[in-house]
Amino acid sequence: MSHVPAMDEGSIVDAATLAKKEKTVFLSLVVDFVLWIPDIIAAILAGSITMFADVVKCGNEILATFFAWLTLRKLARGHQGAYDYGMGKFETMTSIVTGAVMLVSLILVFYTAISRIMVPEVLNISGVALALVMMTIGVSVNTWLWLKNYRIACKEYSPIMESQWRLFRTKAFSDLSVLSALILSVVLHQFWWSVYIDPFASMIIVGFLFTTGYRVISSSLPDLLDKTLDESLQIMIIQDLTEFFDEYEAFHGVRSRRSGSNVYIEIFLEFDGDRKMCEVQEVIDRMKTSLESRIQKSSVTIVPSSGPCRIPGKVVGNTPERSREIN
Amino acid sequence: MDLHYEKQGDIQIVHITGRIDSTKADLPGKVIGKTIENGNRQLLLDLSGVSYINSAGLLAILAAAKRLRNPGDRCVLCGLSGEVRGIFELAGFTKILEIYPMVGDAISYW
Repeated sequence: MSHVPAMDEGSIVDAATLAKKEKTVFLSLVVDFVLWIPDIIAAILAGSITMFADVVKCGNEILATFFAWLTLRKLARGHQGAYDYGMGKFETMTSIVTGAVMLVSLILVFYTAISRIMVPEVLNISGVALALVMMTIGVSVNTWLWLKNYRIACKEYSPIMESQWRLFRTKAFSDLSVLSALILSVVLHQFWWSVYIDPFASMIIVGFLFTTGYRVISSSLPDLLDKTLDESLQIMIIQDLTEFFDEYEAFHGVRSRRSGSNVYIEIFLEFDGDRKMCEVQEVIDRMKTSLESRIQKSSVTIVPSSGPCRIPGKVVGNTPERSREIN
Repeated sequence: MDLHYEKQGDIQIVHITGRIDSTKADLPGKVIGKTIENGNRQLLLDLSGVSYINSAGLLAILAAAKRLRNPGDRCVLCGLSGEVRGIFELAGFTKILEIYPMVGDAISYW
């Protein structure tokens, strides 16, 4: 049983969205896998290093998408009883894995491209024909999935959907790069330098992978390490503290963190000892409702406290002097 | 961030200069706390030299303002630059704290 009522409310509201997310990611997974097999055949037949790198990259992406789907499936089937704080950290971890997979692919693509530049090879034209068909399908499908995931991510922020639409954008552009490289290699095959088009096109994929992988990891890692909320949200917390300034006696600190798409805020306040508990509770309820309505998917806890809130290595809010004064 | 102290009668003036950001956010809270510990219950914070203040700095001032709520206590701010004043207005501090343009103005209205 959950000990946080707001979490239960959130779960009920999110059930439909969660099911939609799971369905979308599963569809992505199936499409990815179906398109991957002919991709492998085309890469072998064409002898294109860009195609080969794209195949390896796709394999890694399928693994990342599978992981994302598995997390969403767990969430949709409901394991909230065992996870009172939700599965936000799983979501964030999935994003980090997606980013890490992109960076691994980057190294692989870079290495294979350099090898091909050192030892250039002419592409097999008959194999390229199949590759052209596959890449045209790849560009179309990935663009469609990119836009579909983007629309869901815009509707409701989630690290999984955020990493998914970025992933499909990268895939659409990388497929377009491969397609362009193959077309140019065929059209300009009479020129000696055309053998370098294929490996140099791989560098474009390297660029896409680096940018997306870095972005996904840099946005997810702070959340996994429980970084405090950004300044714009901190200011919203302060706005509430000033709005209710006369309702509490002392401010002892605030701490916050993100977990997936959820936001957790704890505010430590001292109340007048002469006030009845029901009066204090009424103030707490009003503050909580006010802040939760302003910060999307937030769970606010007002902690009646007589001393500073402590976190390892730091005293938040009031000073150590104040602590001694109280003691 | 630099701090300079000045006493005018019962009023303890703390001149703060520089940026109050995440790296120095604890300092105003500690200084203000220490000043209050030393029996100074009438505090004037001169922020004319502050170019930026973040949420942690704002919370330190909020905590200090709360500690100086007894009869005879005062926590007054002055010298807010355009950007800093904007942050204070956004946070709602202009509604709960006395703010004057200059140190002289604050003392003359004391």
